[in-house]
Amino acid sequence: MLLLGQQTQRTCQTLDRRAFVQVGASSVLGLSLANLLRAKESGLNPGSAKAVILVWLWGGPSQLDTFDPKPNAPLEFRGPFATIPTRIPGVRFCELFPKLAGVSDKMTVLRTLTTQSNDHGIAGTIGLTGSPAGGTGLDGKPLPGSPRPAVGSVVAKAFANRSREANIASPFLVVGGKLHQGKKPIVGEGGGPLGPAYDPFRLEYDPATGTKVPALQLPPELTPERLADRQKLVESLSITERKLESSLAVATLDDYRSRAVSMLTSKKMQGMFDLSKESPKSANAYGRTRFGQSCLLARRLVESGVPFVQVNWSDHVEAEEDAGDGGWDHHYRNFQIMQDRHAMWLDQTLSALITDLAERGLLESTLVLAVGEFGRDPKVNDKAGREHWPGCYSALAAGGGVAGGRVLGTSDAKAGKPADTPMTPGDLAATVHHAVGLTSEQIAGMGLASTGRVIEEMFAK
Amino acid sequence: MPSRLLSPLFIVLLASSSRAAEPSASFTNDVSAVLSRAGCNMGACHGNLNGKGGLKLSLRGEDPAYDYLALTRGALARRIDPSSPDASLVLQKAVGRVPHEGGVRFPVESVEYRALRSWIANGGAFDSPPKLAKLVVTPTRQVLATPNDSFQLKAVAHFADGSTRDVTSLAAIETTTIGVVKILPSREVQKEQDGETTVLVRYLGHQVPVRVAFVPDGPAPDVSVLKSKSKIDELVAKQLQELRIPPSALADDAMFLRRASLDATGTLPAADVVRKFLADPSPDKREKLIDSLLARPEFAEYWAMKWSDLLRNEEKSLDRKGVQVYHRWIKTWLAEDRPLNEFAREILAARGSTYENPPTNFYRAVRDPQARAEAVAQVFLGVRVNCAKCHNHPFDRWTQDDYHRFAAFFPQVQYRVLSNTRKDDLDKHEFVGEQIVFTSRKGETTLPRTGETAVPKTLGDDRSPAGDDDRLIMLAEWVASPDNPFFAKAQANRIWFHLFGRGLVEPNDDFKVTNPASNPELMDHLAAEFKAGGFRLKPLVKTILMSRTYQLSSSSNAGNAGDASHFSHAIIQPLEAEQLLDAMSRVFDSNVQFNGYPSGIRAGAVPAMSQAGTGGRRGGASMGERFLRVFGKPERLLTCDCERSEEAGLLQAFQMINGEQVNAMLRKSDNRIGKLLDRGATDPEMLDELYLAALSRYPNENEKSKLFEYVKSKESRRAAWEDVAWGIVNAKEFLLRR
Repeated sequence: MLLLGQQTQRTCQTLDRRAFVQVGASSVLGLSLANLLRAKESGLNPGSAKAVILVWLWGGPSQLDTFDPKPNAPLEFRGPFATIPTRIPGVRFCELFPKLAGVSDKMTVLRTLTTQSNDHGIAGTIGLTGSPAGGTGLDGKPLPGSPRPAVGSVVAKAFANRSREANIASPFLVVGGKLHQGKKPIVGEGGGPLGPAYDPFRLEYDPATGTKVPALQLPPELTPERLADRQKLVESLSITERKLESSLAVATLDDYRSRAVSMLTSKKMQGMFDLSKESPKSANAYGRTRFGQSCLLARRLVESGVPFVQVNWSDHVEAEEDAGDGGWDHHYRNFQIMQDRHAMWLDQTLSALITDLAERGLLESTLVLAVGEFGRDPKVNDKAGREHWPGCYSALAAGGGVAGGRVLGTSDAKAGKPADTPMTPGDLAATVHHAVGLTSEQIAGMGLASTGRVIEEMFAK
Repeated sequence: MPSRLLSPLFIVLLASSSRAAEPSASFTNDVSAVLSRAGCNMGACHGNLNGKGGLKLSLRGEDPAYDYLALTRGALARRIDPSSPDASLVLQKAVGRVPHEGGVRFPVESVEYRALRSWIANGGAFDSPPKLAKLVVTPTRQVLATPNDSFQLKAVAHFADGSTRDVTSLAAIETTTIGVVKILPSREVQKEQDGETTVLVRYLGHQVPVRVAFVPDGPAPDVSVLKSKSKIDELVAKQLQELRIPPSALADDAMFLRRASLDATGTLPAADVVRKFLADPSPDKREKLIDSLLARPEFAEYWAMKWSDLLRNEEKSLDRKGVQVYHRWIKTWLAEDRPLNEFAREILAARGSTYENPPTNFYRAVRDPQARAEAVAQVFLGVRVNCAKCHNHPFDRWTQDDYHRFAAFFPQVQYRVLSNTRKDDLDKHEFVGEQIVFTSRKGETTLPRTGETAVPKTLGDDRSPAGDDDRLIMLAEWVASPDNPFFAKAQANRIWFHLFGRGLVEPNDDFKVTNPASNPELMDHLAAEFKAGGFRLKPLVKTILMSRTYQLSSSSNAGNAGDASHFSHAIIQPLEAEQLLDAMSRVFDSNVQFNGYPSGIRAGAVPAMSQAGTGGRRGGASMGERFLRVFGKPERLLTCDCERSEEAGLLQAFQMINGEQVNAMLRKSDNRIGKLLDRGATDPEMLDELYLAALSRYPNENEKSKLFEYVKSKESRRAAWEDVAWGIVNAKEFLLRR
């Protein structure tokens, strides 16, 4: 095979989509560059995780009222909740998380994450992409640089071929609506410089109506039968269609078209999204909440071969302003909301997810990561709430080669700052890529710079 | 311990150097070079902003004095040990005797080890030898046919004092493509497979690209299809012969008509135009068609859209009236075919009201000195200087000082908003209302390296405005001058890029030492032609469209299917968002609505997308606007053609299959199908109309029989024809430009 002019472009800050297209050209056509790369990299770090479930706790949960309680801090910091022991010696959780404490032997607790902004918009972009570039805060001013792709989009790009072979919808699915701050969508939930092809495919779950796949809604006149008729028509034409040149454009067009059609017409394909196929026992174990069933859906998707699923706890933050559920953005009544809803739901669902994956033998190959965009102010405010806090927050990781029963990082006496081992969302993004076996060379091959340090201490040795 | 006099490196140096014998390897000329050669100072390793493992070196060795301190004084001076050179940490790490995250960088028996050791053993001193003036690499262009599978590279350094030295073994040599060639320790370039690539030879901050091609042996291909009076064809044919790539055949009339219409005007030819063109027997009908395309209003609208993308003509910063006057100004300029260098001059020198003097909108859309410098360089000069903001450009000649001195043209450009009635109170970057751009007497930027005030300086030829000169006028004159070293090439390459889907330099706005044109002679010719034509758009577009190269088929042959950059066949591309929506609108004869614009306006003619659907009190986006976003219409936040995405995706497939826009057009009662049925058109008439409008050709017999059979099998004739029309707009032939 003659490789002419397929030079990879090197850029510094500015990412260049066209350069990606050129790199992608060979992989889509399955031509020699991709094969060569594969051959060159075979034997390199296959990565134990085949799938990732990112549980996105939008709004920013309090580190003190979840996994980094400070029982010895003054009352106005520690809050009203007591602490309970976990299966990790010497590590205690907030008392609202007994079930997660019970599976803590399967997880690594990260307690010293820090981010650069206390604005949901910017911290959201950092959390989703590992970089502040392009993030837009309340003032509407985008930070310099073009936005990086979401962590999931990078995985999607790397696994595009694998997903094609597995005949699944899209390598990157998001369960839940688009993330917003006020009415502004958060930058960085999509492919960014990798192009809209790596934007996530979105599903929504509503307890009242079940799974909704916005893209699969057919207009009223277009019955599935009529669509099938039309498709047959196009296929019969394409046999006689003048021989079209093989090229990247043709190959990708064909590929996405046939996938879209099979999603619209194939019952098997749609079965992936159908929670009625789950036993009531499973459904109950996860909890019959939107979040619970969304996580159940995530497990179903991973089981059918989707490499990256993100579950959004909610679409909106700032409940008082948005009339949304406000996610974890508890400026008001933090302790009441935690106790009545959020802690209970998260405890039940996340522990059920980890247990379920383990029982099905999927935990070894599935990285589950639960984290928000920042933490909350250690000092309780006068509305029994906690304000935004980028200085220190926690995350839970399990499966996909992550060590069980481990805690990383120690925060200071009030969980306001890391006392050691500060970690960033950029590190976390790099770590997720590492977990699925992506090397820094492969990331560089997409024209992307590394977002941070791989947290190698998370992985069992 | 071996004597340093026996050091093989030293012997090589003695043999190849015309200078006096050296007592030891030089830090600046040897050690710094081998640190680059071994990759120690690259961005991913110790050249990183934060260094790695406690050792930070300057990126790619741009600052030897810094590196000297890091190696000799850092880490409590443990890194080098002149009394026991082999025990030096830097050597122990590099050869893997001590764990090293970066792995083994070189063995003990290597040029790198010997150079470092020699320098350490001699006391590890800093030196200031004569500066490198020039790096001469031979060859700089090599095409080899099988069975030849390697050649030797040679690099000679010329120093400021007139001395020369063979630095072949010290230079870093890198490939830019994986899998085509590899570099042997002997500095030979060895073929891995047939193909073309660029090899970079780098020594002390100088880099020289070497174009390399290994081609299968065989007779020179037949390039007679490119025989014409056009210099473009001559130069393309010459290169294809050299690289043994056979060109494709000439495109047939239908393919040419559709392609040229899309590329020149962004629209499909009307059914009548197709009928006339296909039936016209005259030999010069392609030229007549090109002339008619260039005269159409859609030509100026289409190219104004491209310029609006680049100049960030968007409503949030410029408001609705602003984008409209700016767009009208650009469109009129292009319709009148006034010189593009004058266009640049008007924009760069503009001051005054954004409503009264439209080009002032440039400084409103791009608002800080650095962003303006980057935009001017990228848009008008085809140079990306962004990397040099923080450090010397690693792949080009720009230093950080160059960057900040170029940015120093702009800090005095100020704006005043006469009244701001923004719709989103929280969004401080939204402006609604007339604005005045002016230059103040105050405002300077500083050089981050020294903290001194940055004196403005042009890129490359280092000209500064005299004390009292207006900086913007001086800059504008410099950019617009026929002697500007960048402008003609950058613009000619961009025009070529828009017509072929790929620049001769690619990305089209990234001219740099390490990114040479795929056909340098052709690049020079196009620039000269553009300049000779008075920097006008239309003559160059015509010259290109008239070339046989442009008119080649997109069907590849066995010998050229892998060619992506030498124009041996046309490149197949998806229609752009606006092209696609306008094409559908034409096929269905059904208008699309855009917020704030009258019904019937084409997507390609809308000055800028409304802000609807982006939050605040801005209302919802229309169906057409949503469609354009899904298909990658840029938001105009970057001054780069690369912001437009053409990669296909699942959501785009859904838009075409069951999307709201397609469905609405299909169902509209008085669309083309409705009108044809109403006037009692027969099935063959219906099919001809749809095919001519959508695919610029007549249906063939096979298609006719299949489709007529389908229509007859259905109860509702209307529904059957809806299905057929759906099938046509979902055909690859419709969705692609070929």
